[in-house]
Amino acid sequence: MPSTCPKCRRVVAEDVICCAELRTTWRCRSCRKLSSGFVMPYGKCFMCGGELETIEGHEFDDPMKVRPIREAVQFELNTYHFYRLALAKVTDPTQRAVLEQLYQNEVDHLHHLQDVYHTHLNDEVLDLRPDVGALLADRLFEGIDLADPRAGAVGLYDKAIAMERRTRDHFKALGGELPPGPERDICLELAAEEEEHVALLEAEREQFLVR
Amino acid sequence: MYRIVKREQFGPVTFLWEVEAPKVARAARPGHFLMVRIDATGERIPLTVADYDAARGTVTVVIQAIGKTTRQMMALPEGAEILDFVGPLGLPSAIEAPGKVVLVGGGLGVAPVYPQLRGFKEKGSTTISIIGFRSRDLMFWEDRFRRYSDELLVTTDDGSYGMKGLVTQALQKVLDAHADVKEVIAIGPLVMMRACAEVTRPRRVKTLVSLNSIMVDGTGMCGSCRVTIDGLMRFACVDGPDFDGHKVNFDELMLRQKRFEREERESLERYLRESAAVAKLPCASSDPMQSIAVLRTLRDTEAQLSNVPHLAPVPEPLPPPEPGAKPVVKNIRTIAPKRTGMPEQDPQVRARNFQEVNLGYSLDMALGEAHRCLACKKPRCVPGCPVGIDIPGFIAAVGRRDLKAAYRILKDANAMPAVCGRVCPQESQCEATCIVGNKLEPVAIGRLERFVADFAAARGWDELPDAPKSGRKAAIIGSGPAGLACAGDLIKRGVEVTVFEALHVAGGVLKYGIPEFRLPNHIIDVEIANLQRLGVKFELDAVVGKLFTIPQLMGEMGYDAVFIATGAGSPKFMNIPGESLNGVFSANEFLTRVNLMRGNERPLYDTPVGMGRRVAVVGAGNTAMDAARVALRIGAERVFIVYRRSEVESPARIEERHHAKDEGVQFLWLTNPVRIIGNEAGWVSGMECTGMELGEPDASGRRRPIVKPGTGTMLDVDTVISALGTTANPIIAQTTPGLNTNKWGYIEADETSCATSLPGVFAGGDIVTGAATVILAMGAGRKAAAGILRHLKIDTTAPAAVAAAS
Ligand SMILES: Cc1cc2nc3c(=O)[nH]c(=O)nc-3n(C[C@H](O)[C@H](O)[C@H](O)COP(=O)(O)OP(=O)(O)OC[C@H]3O[C@@H](n4cnc5c(N)ncnc54)[C@H](O)[C@@H]3O)c2cc1C
Ligand code: SF4
Ligand code: FES
Ligand SMILES: [Zn+2]
Ligand SMILES: [Zn+2]
Repeated sequence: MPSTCPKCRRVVAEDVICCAELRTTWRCRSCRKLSSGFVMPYGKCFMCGGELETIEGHEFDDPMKVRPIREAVQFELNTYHFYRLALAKVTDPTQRAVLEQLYQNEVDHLHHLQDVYHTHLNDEVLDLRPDVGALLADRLFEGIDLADPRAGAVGLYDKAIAMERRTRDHFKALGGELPPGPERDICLELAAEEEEHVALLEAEREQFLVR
Repeated sequence: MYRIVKREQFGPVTFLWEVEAPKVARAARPGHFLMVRIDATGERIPLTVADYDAARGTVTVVIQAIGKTTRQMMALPEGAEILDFVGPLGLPSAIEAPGKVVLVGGGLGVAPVYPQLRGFKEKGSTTISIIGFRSRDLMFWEDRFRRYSDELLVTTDDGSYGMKGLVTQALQKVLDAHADVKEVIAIGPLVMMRACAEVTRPRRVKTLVSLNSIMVDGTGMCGSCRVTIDGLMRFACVDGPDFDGHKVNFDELMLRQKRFEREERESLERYLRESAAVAKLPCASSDPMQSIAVLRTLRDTEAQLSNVPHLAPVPEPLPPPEPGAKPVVKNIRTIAPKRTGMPEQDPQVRARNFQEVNLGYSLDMALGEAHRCLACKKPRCVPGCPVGIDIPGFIAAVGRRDLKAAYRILKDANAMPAVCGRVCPQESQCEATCIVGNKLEPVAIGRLERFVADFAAARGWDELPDAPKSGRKAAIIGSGPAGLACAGDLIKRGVEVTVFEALHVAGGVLKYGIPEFRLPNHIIDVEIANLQRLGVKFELDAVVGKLFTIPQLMGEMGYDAVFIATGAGSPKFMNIPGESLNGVFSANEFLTRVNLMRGNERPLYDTPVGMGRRVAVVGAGNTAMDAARVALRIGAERVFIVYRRSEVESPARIEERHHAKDEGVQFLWLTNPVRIIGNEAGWVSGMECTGMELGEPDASGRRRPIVKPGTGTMLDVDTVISALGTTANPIIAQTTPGLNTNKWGYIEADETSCATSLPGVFAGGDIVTGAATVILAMGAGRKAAAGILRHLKIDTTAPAAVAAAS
């Protein structure tokens, strides 16, 4: 008779998947990591082990008017541009591979923001003024020994990890300052998101080192 | 084994057995029945209890030799042993306050009426008995009836003894003479019971009849025994066998009793031919015991040959690790976008055999697939796994070629990785959340799990340690994945464990439901053998709630804790016209007849399947896929899956759906059965369906199927299998006072400890969640074990007995 839907974990009176191609959004009660997908996990938060709760998802009239969302988009865009410009400067294949991956990660992160907060970016935002670009790209390479392909690649990872950490800390601090409410929630969600980016990059860096 | 301690012949085809079965004798009551199987290839057949003697530990049954099995039974001499004697089953007859009752027994029905007669007499009722036989030489138990009857009428059809005529004529006479009859109990052939009910109907005298319909399990799991009472479907084995004779649909029941007429005739003819041939052999013994022993050995050897287990692969040494690989960037864009394919039997070939479809990865394939894992620092796959296996950990170990370590990691969280690697719906669990799946095909976690477990199984990496005895005893009810997982964890902490299983084999759905080509039996047998070696005791043929109850387990039987893991085995039907036609099965019945009773191997095995040629399976879950694919394998010409939603909503594992398609099963999505059509003989001749479409999404975004007008079609089929899920079997709840259940009959249990409303009683698996998955049931079994250990105050901080060698 009733069974638990294997996708969204709701108890349904009939033996079926109740939600089929519906995306579910859930959040960790402890670290606030927000995720969405076709299948709700069984276990605890993969980031911190906290309890998960399904939520309806966010609805904003104009998400870009919400401060943390706007800032998050800005941060991700900046990094996205860093990698794009950096790619234009690097010729070593290993380093290029690393940069391409970092760049691709940023595209994913932007998509995630779009998914969860419905931020829709136009091409204008995605393009950067060339002069600003050159400046940013140079900053990315500061202190990295690009002459050594391997050390250079590791340096790129380190830099990228440091940037993600900075963003995470920013949202953590901001969340700490804001009064309880949706903006503060979003800050914590974003901090958790950045935490995952850090973990992803660390794993990639590790994989790179063991090879 | 159960010994026939006494045998008595009443006339040419009727005989009595007194069987030594002390536990059954203690629990038996008038009205109960038994499921009996004489040997490993035999059918399970229902027999009504004719008498019982708790002090001597014997149960009496009276049998009429009509078909092959009952003739074989007749050939068994006193002293012979039979394999299964399961019961007592059904609800005992309600023998209430004194009054005047009439007990009518016709032919063989005389025997089961007897304990009721005695019961009524002991309660102080005035008893009038009518027993009828065809002729005097078939008569039995007149003396017994006389002892307990205030008035006794014996009738014979030919007038050779007593009153000439039918029992109904006698009944008429009795009712004319006694206006104060409170109740009539009539047991005998269906025509007789119907005629008795017609005699009493105008007089409005309560009339109970005992319906011995065609059964498989006898415990409410298959629906073979279904009867229509007052327009509603009832299972004779759990809701009966006694029913109000005025409400029984006898016409339908009589047609249903003919379901296996052809098969039974064939079996009998073959049996008679063969026994005649055996008797003519020069070596034929005049000692019946000896010839039976010879015949049995022959049959058993034949049966064993037909199930030779797959041989374990020869242990092969692990190849040395490769020298250090070159540095490449490994990330989502540099790994292979597609998962390593699973080698499988050719669809054309496998659609006609029961060998496993998936052949398993080779070491190279496994290494290749393991390389696709990104070894995430914060792996998303782990929370996707219901038991939280350290997935990147085990995959990394595969990558290092340390398969022993990989196996240990799997076993840490999962009691049966070889099972789960085959049957878990990974696409809606770990693989659904694997990060690789965001962009590419996710890592084939399940296939890797299966590879490691199979690699380990053949090499004896399971360590079977000796845990210090705790002196505590736990009873586990049900030997499905939940029960087995719980047993494993408890025994490793020194708890004495007995698993009670209603069927004659252990394994639950893994054995009787999921077919061999998807999950070979030997995989489960290895797990069960391991548990036995650890000291777990298995008591088969033990229906808890009937043979004894949970209060008895916790009381006089001295158990400190009970875990209820009885699954959700009661089949659901569609509730459309035509469901009682012959040729309509529940998937449970169909699969049990094949997987458990091996009906597809007739005549070596005795149980008939009764499938036609063109089969419709209604539903689209795993059970539906299994039923459809089994139907193909046992010779169906065409098999349809009929489902009222679309493919994306099908709850079956994706792999099973693909396999079914490749094998030739035809899918009718968005098609809803509305009526099953039958011919005059009561057999299915078609199924009327209507087309469906998905309606507008509701507030939550879900789209429900709605009828599409003008889309009625007739499906040309002669067999319909209903695979619409299952509900809770009521036996345990009925017999356990104080055990809380929810509105669907599932047991209420705490999510973390599995504790129920009764102290010391725990529950988990499908009986709590409703039909779910193997891994969830296993996870629940382990949670319950932890709950039980806490309840028994057994220290769980000390390292448990390890699961695999380090
Ligand atoms: C045909 C079929 C295919 C399936 N395919 C899959 C699949 O591919 N993947 C998946 O994950 N899941 C699958 N499932 C579901 C899965 O098998 C169940 O969720 C799981 O077996 C439940 O385990 P359990 O231990 O709770 O109960 P069960 O496996 O149902 O075991 C319960 C046992 O208890 C016994 N029992 C019942 N009452 C009593 C009693 N009163 N006394 C003693 N014993 C009793 C029963 O005889 C049975 O052996 C399938 C189910 C079916 C029917
Ligand atoms: S999520 Fe996928 S890639 Fe990451 S550890 Fe799990 S299986 Fe490997
Ligand atoms: S025999 Fe009654 S349900 Fe199976
Ligand atoms: Zn759902
Ligand atoms: Zn968290």
